[in-house]
Amino acid sequence: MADVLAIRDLKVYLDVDAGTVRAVNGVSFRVPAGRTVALVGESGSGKSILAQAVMGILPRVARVESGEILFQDPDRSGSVVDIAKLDPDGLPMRSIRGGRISIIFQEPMTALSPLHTIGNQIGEALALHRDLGAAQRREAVLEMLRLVGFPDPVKAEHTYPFELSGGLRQRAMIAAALVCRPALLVADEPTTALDVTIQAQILQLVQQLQGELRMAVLMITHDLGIVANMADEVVVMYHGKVMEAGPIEDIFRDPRHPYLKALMRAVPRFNMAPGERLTPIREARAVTDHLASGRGRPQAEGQAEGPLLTVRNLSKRFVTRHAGWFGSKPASQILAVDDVSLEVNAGECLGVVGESGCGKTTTAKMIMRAITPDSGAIVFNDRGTPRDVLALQGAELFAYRRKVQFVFQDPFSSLNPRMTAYDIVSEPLVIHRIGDADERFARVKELMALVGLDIRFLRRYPHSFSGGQRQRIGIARALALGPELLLCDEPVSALDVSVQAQVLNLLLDLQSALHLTYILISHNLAVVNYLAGRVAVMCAGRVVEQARHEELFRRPIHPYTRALFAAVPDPDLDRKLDFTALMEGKASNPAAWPEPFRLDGSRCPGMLDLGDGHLVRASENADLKELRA
Amino acid sequence: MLSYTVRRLLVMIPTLLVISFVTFSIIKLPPGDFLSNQIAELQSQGDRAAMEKVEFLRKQYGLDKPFLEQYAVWAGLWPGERGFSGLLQGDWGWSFEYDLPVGQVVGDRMLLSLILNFSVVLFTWAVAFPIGVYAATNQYSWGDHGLTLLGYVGLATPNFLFALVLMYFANVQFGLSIGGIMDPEYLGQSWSWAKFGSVLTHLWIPVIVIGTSGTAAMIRRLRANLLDELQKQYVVTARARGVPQLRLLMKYPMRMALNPFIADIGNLLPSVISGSAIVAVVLSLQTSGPMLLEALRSQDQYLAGSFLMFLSLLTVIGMFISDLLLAALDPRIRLTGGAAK
Repeated sequence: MADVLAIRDLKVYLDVDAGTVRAVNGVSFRVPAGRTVALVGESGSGKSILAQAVMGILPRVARVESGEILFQDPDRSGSVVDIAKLDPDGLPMRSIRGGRISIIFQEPMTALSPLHTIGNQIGEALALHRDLGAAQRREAVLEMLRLVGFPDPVKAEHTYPFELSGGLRQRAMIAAALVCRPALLVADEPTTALDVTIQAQILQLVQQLQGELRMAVLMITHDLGIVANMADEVVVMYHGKVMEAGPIEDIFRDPRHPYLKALMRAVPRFNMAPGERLTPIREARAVTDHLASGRGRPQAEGQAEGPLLTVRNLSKRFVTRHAGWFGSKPASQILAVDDVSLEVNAGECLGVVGESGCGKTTTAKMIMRAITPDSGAIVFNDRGTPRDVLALQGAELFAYRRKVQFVFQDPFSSLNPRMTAYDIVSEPLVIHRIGDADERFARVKELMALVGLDIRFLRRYPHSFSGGQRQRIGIARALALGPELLLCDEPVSALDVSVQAQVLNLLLDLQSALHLTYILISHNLAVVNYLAGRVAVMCAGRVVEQARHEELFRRPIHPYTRALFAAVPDPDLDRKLDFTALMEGKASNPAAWPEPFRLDGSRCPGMLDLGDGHLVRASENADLKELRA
Repeated sequence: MLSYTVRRLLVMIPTLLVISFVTFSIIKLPPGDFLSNQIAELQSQGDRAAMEKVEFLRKQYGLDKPFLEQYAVWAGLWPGERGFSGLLQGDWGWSFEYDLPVGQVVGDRMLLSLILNFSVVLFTWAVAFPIGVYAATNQYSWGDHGLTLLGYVGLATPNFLFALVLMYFANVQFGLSIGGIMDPEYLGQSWSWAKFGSVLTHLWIPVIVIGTSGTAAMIRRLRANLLDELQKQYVVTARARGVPQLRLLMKYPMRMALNPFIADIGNLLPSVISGSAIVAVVLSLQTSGPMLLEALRSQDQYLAGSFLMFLSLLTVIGMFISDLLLAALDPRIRLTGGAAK
């Protein structure tokens, strides 16, 4: 079979202040027609630059130094175009770009213009590349929206991106990329920002569309699980060079190159031995010696009996309003969090798992007092003194803020781009009026060492840090006040595998060094498995299952938990994703769960205790033995 | 949308009432009034008859009444000498200085101000937009650096100084007198094509003088806004779709970068009438700015008050327009209040 894309000895150089970076340094590989090639590597390996070179959308600092990018359009057999030689803004390149080669990007949140409707942005590619009338174009857009799984294409056409969930946005992105039926789809980390269940759906969609449109896919990813499930061939890149390439079977069964082996060891897996540590490709060592001084460290002594934080029957409704031409329509309510009860013991890590929209972040924000719950209670055990968190006011609330801190998901938008690393890390100290300038500087230096960052970085701005470094700055900021409880909201979901392992190990080390208590919110089950002692699974605002992590991962009982596990792509060729087990996206619909788990308006079963702290939400007359089977 | 519009219009009423009260209070803050200054002058001349006239005037204008009543009569909330006749009824009051109704005093100058400042706005936008877009798309090029430097100079030079410098050089080098907004012989005449032409030939100097700093500020702002937008992912996505450069720029980042400028319309409207007072004084332009200044100084209370009220009305309307425009142009803007936390 002919190759759609053949890259020969490609060199792409970046001209930056510090000199020339050889981002892509002599790469050769091919993408056969109709097949999927996975390009694997951590960030900075040059895989995204390579994708941009193929698309002719390199940033201004980058230039193709030498080499060929040969594109052979299967519709016009025989004609081979060297993309590397084309003017990126010329007509020939523009007609290939978006018409014959399309790209989908990682962030569905930012990759669509917020000011234009989905239909407008999907139709734009058609208007540019196909000679169609307005009516035909609309027809094609609707057809595409249907194909990518929008339940109501006519309505979806007029929605704006910010009205859609992440999964639907990514579907819209895919629709916009595929509407011209390209010969090659470049997918640059298409599912990194998505939930596992949505990820599985998107992967299934890409595979299905690939079959229907007979296109080749160049899948750029760092997730070896996705590679194992999607790819026919694998190319492993590191520092701009190809380390290893070949058919999927060879690569996974018999990895040769040390880098590939290291990459495989850096991924948290389900079948890890207890106490086994991830091996990051580059370790970030937490330096904790200086903490003997006790500065910024919560006292371990005086820790009181009982759980550190108790959450009881927490509920929150959000009211959405639709402004019509004539006043407000009746408000509709969304039950974001419904009757959630959790206990967190001092020194443990409680994992909260669930897809986006299940209420896990809302719960965390209520614990932070960023959102006020409608009902329920939160009690924080302040060294023996129980504090009703929801009743805290003024100075007491201010003091509570020092005890509980937050690590955000997105290290790119959670750091102010106009503040230096020093300003960012020292800001909590300034707000809480701790120390004078000298002491703050000393503390910030300690914190930087704590998260394994060089103090010479302190005067830099966030944009000059990598994702993992930024997340470590975020962690340093959260630790600045010496909190007892750290709420980590998807701390690694925006990070690379290699960096992910680094941050996870850091969190692990800090927990024992500083006697921290974590609430770890994540949709990545393997990450939760690695860090958490107990795990609560949330769905549609409710906790559906809660257990010790070994127990939960060995014997999931609730259908939603099972669906979650089924959706995780395992980097193991013998355990491929079973797309039929996804329940067609119904897994997160409580009314579609089988008995005795079903929840609907009329009934709301409570938590059943299966012993050993294993709780599951099911109706009381369910047969416990049957459940355990 | 309709209910929002109605609500906004209703909110304007208390807003304007409060503004009118504050305005009037501030004007009345200095001791005495316009007539008391006159009296002092006349007394020193010992003119008994004039003194009586002033007393008569004081009664007629109600200046002997208490403050609150003066305000209410001016605003049209209370019957005065001539019944209900105040701002609410469209009567702007009487200018002591000019001995004419305020409407007549202001009329012609207001039109000139409008022409002048509207030209300034057009000039600013016409110059700033292309330059701003160029500077953003060619960041750190020689063109960008040069224009940036020019922009800083424009921003840092006080307008009146620039006006003086320009006047000096025009006079010394070319023997031109560039003061005034038209040739003196047309002053006070009714509008004709010749007068209009004269205004046009004089207009460009004040337009440049007044416009430079605004243009420079706008270039900087547009450049910064665009640079923020240009590196956003959705721009790359659209580019990857094969959208040609110029169309890409106009459709995506420009739309996003426009928001602050639309939000600015609220400030634009009043400055169209009263902006650039100091430059107008320096260049002796017959616009409304210098008049407002003079009215405030001589405590010509109804002239100053009505004038300020008119500006406030324009501000409120301008804000209203920019809010509606923003809501129409940016789908993300919700008209109802934020959801409860």
